[in-house]
Amino acid sequence: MKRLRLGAALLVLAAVMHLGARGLDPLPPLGGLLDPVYGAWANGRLAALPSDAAAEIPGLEGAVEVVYDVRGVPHITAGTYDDLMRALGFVVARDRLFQLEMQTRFTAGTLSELFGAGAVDVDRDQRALGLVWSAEREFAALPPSGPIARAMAAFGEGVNAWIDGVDRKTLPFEYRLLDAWPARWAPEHSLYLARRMGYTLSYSRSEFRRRRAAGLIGQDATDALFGRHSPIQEPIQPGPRPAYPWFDRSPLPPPSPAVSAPVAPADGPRAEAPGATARPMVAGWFVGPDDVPPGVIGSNNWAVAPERSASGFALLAGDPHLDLTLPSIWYEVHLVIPGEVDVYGVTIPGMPGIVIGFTRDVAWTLTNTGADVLDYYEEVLDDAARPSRYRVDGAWRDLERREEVYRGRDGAVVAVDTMYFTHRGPLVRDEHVPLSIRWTNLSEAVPYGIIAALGRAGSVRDVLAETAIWGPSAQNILTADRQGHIALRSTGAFPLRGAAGDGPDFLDGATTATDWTGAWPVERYPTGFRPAQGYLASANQEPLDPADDSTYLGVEWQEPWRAMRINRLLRESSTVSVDDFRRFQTDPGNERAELFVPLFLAAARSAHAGRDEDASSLDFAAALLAEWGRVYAPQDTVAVLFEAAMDELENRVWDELLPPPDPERRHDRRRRVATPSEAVLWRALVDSTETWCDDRRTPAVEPCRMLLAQSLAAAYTAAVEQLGKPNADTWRWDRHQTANVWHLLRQRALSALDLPVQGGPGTLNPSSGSGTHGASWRMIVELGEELRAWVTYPGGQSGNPASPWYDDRIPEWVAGELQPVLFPRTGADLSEEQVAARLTLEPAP
Amino acid sequence: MIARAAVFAVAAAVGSLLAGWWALPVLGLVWGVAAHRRRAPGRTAALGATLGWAGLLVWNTVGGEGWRLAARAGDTLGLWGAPGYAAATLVFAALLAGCAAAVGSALERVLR
Repeated sequence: MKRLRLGAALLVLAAVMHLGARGLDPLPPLGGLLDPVYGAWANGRLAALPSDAAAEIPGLEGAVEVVYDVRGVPHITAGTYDDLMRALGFVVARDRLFQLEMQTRFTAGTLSELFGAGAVDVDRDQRALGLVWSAEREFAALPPSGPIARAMAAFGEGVNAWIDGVDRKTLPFEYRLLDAWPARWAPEHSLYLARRMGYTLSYSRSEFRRRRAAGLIGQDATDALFGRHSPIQEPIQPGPRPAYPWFDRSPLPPPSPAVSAPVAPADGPRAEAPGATARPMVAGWFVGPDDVPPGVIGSNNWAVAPERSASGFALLAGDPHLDLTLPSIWYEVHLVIPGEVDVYGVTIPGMPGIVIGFTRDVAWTLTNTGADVLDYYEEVLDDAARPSRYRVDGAWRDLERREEVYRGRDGAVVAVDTMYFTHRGPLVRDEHVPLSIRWTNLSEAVPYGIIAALGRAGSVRDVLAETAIWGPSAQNILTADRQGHIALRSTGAFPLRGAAGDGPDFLDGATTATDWTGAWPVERYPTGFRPAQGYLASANQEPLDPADDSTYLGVEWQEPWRAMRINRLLRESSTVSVDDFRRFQTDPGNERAELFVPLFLAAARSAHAGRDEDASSLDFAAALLAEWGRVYAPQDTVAVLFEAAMDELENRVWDELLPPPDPERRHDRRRRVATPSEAVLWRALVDSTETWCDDRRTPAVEPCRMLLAQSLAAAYTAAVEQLGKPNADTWRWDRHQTANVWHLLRQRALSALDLPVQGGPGTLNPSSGSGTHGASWRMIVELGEELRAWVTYPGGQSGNPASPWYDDRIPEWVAGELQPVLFPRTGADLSEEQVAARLTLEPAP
Repeated sequence: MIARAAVFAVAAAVGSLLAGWWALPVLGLVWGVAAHRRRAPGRTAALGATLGWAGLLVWNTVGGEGWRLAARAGDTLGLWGAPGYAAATLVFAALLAGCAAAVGSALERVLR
């Protein structure tokens, strides 16, 4: 009996201790979570920064003072730029350590080392992009004593100084969940991050969409529906027409009846890339029909000159739209070297410097240009299974090879791939042909030198001079200064293509005549400086009216709705204030609705007169639309009907883009191979030939008004079936569209979900689909005698879920409010009431 | 029993401050051996460990953001927020110390 009792007690004890030390998959070790001293409880106890702290950083050249203000923003004052970067690395790691590692591992394709072999497919997709290959090549080519390498090295020293001090008490909560320990930071990780951002901002698959579309509707129709220019012009740079927006109402070419299936490569089948090794690399990457169209991620910026500002000072607003995550993609910081650098703004954790912000005299912000900076080349290989060479200009060239090794949590190898590279870039494969990628994001230098220089800028001219090249992804850089100048330039490394290579389609890799021959000279960049209209704005629209300059810059430009809206707001206001700017950032008005609602209403009137459609549904729907203010406020009850009608309309108009029925998948809903923009949809509806509204399966010619009426009636009927009769509850916009700020681990409890934001598809504060993209940083700067700024972002400064600064800014972000920034000359100039914590960094002995 | 549990609670708190959760099975084992003639040493140790860690939880909560952490951690682990997380913490302590004390007590008897 005694032995039995001993055995039972031992068994239970062993089980509990095993749970404490090792956990039980998927349960992490409980000791690291539940221990009230060294476990996750410590993350709560230590969530607030100590009012006074000190730390040492190896390599630091002198003492660095860091003062955290009451918003959790560190004001760092150092004696040298290297020390400034060391301190930046230290404070970023202190607040965002897990985010630093997650971002790095995601880009590097090493998530399997943190999550196990199940993440290998994600890692393969990442490595197939060639981002790390490119970053490592760039890092190897950087002079070690040059400013960029030194800044990255110093930043890494700061990060590692924090990591070296991490113990069981300060280990971030996420590591406890994953039963992992922080990996050390390498300087090149900063380059990974820049490449990842370049991917987010410039990766494009328009060639695939166009090819699939051409297989169904012919090349002429494809060129019109997925074309080089938007049919609604509200260009970034003031154009030559007397008024904007300008609408292209010319007829669209009809679909070509001769073409019926996706085309093979133009010159017939070629040898394929290696199946066994290459196929897994691209799994999930060539994702079949109707992959994500352009326009999911966008941004706004605008500025007014003093003559249009209520205060008489230039005003600038920045509003980049990116993935919404907790912790936020941005980290707010103030960097000071007395007499040399005094810059405030946001960095992306891992980058050695401030990306968007201001000095005492000048402010700048970015939107994505969306230019075509990526080309696919169809390559000819010597061997489909085991390629070693590719053919160019009639001769064979050697492929560069790179072994990709994937490891699991225990360091054991879980998979190995081989990647191949031509002189253009990494080799991938689609259904038919091996392709190599030429992409500025793999070939151009990251802009860290520019970022460092911007911290010393004193005027708009300085900003323009420093941002002449923004290599990886083209950006619209808006800037304003205290002298009253405003400027906006689309800057990047816009490719000059060979004679045979201009355009948005797959290029022939067998000839160098299609290779890039250089980049646009800076003088040709779309640029506006102190325009007569007194304001400048960009919202990812086409930079130049083709009537002004039709040189190929890109295809499938983002929808013009945000650009139209901000331009309307700015045109209608002879003078604007900071508060106007703030309201504009969450303005619920929608130019898309302004354009399409009248079409629906006219069609309803016409259909009713001709008894084309179910009168009751159509009448009810039309009555709702007629009364609608065309705004996307959370309590609005008609936006949901309008969105449903737009979906119905797209389905009816673009039926030619549905692939032929597949007998083996007859139960699957067919999806369009590609979807033209809504601006093109508008053009199709006002096209006098009505060629795209006609259902070619019937002998009659269906007019567009019939499709509009059918769509509206069907949307109403479906909405009533799903939501009941129109009411102020189930039809509320925020019951259907919310913003969702997910934690990096997709843990609901660590996220901020179902946020009722003001905005919808096409509004200045866009919110659509899963609600996981949106305004990631809002900034307004008044360039007065003393520069003032107001900011917010959806999150908080700390990555610790227990910290009051984890998500404290989300309520103000949802409400469209901003907070004034504290911009002292140094941290020492802050009053005691403005200071939350201090940190002194000293050289390690 | 209450008095003995209070003694164990102090030992559990101090031990955890010094060595973390591993202190509880060690203390429990010693307690079981030393108190094997007493009634229910396992239950006493379990109660004491619970009290000791409850004190540490109060320290975490009063001196920091322990409750906020517990709310998020509890929901992440499916433990019904902060109360569930705190309860899981205390049950973990009770099991560690109680089982170890039971082992110590039984071991002493077997070896005696």
